[in-house]
Amino acid sequence: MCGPPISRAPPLRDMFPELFVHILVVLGLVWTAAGALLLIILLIRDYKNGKLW
Amino acid sequence: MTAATGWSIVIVLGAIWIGLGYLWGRKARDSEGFMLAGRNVGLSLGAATAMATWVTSNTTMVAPILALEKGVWGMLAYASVSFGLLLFAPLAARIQRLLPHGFTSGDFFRLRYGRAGWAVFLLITLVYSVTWLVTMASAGGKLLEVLGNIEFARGMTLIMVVCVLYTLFGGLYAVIGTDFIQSLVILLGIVAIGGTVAMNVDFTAAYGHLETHQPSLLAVMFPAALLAIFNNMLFGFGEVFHNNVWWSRAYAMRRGVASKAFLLSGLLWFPIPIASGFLALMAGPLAVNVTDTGQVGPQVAEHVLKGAGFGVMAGVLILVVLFCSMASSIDSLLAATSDLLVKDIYTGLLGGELSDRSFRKVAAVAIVAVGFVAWAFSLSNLPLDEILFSSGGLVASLIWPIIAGLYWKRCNRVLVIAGMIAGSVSGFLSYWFVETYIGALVGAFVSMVLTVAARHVRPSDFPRAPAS
Repeated sequence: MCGPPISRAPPLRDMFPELFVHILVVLGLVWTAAGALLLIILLIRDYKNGKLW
Repeated sequence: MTAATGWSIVIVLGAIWIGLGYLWGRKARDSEGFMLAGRNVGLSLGAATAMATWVTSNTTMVAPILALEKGVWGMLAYASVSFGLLLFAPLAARIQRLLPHGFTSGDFFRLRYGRAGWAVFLLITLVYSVTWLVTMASAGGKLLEVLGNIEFARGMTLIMVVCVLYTLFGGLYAVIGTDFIQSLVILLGIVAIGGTVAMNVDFTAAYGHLETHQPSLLAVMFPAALLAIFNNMLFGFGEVFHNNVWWSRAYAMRRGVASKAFLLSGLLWFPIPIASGFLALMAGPLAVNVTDTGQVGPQVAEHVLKGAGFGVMAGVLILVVLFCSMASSIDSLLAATSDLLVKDIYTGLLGGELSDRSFRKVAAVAIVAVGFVAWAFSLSNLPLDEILFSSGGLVASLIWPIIAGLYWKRCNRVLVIAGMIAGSVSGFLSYWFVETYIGALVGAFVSMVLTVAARHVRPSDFPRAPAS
């Protein structure tokens, strides 16, 4: 009888799952894009209200 | 990319920044206008300038290196640097309330901790700011050499001349205005580059490759990376809390705007190291031959963008984004450091008198002098990156004295100053002789112990700030 295969890699439970890494990357990109959009919206609002500087 | 294309990009961008700097600089009619943009900056420009200043070449270049070495935790560790901006939000409102007529962070240290505390602060902040500026200038020269085929000294000189000129013409108006445009270029450029990479890789296959060949990059328990998170956070706190780059923005923003702007800037900054750092995670799965780890981000981006049919535009896009990330920090450092020279050294320590008319001449000399010193050091080949990173303990030792000075009514000032000095020395030595990741931790801890003691051991009231 043999035991489970020995691997040098950390056990799976000790690694970030694929879904987590994927969501992290997508969220990072979407969040960055949303930031750019928000800045543009705020600029237009400040400009209309005469509150740029 | 040919050298001609590289020169063209930098000269066109430089001409735009200088032109806008001149245009906006006409609004600056007195010293408050030039140094603090009239103390009336709104939310959009305030948030953008705080974010753009904190996006340096380190954010776009070092975040991928951390991801390459420390994987997922490396990206998150760098993202945690944004907490400095988030926590500065309440401090900015407090600064405006306590020092409504303040000009620099030196004003605070002089009023709270006297000339001795002020001198310690000036020494730390000038060493740190000039070193940071030199590393930015050097990074710009290296970037133009690698991406634009422009010789290092020429490229670095070009970047410094452009930034000095528009800061000279427009002061903080020019810096804040150009920072907004640079913010959008940085954010949209990172989304374009990162999005293209994300769409052109098979994520499951890439994850499988990492799991098999580089499992430590996905490890949940990675002690060195976890230590890096706390160290980076404290480094970020110390840097943002003390540096005149941030204080000048707090003074410049309209009442009621400062805390919202800094909170927003931190939220905008947080995802950038993740969006740019993940490029490095893809280096192995995409079989990119990383010849220089310092260039891993641009190398992976160029590899994928060229594969996606961008051709020469791949290099152009990367160069524009990185150029903006450097210019947005260099201009801020030039303005804020020269303000310290004018207000704290020239008028404060040397007792010089300044009218609004003579102010512009002295400010111009200070900006050119700071730019020249940074330029000369950049040519020296000194290991300034190491010096900058080793100063984490120095800036972290200022965290608690700033919080105490802003929120407490009384303390033992001698003990606080002793904490700044002991924290700086112990943090610096820990970096060099124990472990690089603990410099800021040790500096902040030692200073904290003495600052907390200063509240209980023979405390005395702080002197009241003058009305103007």
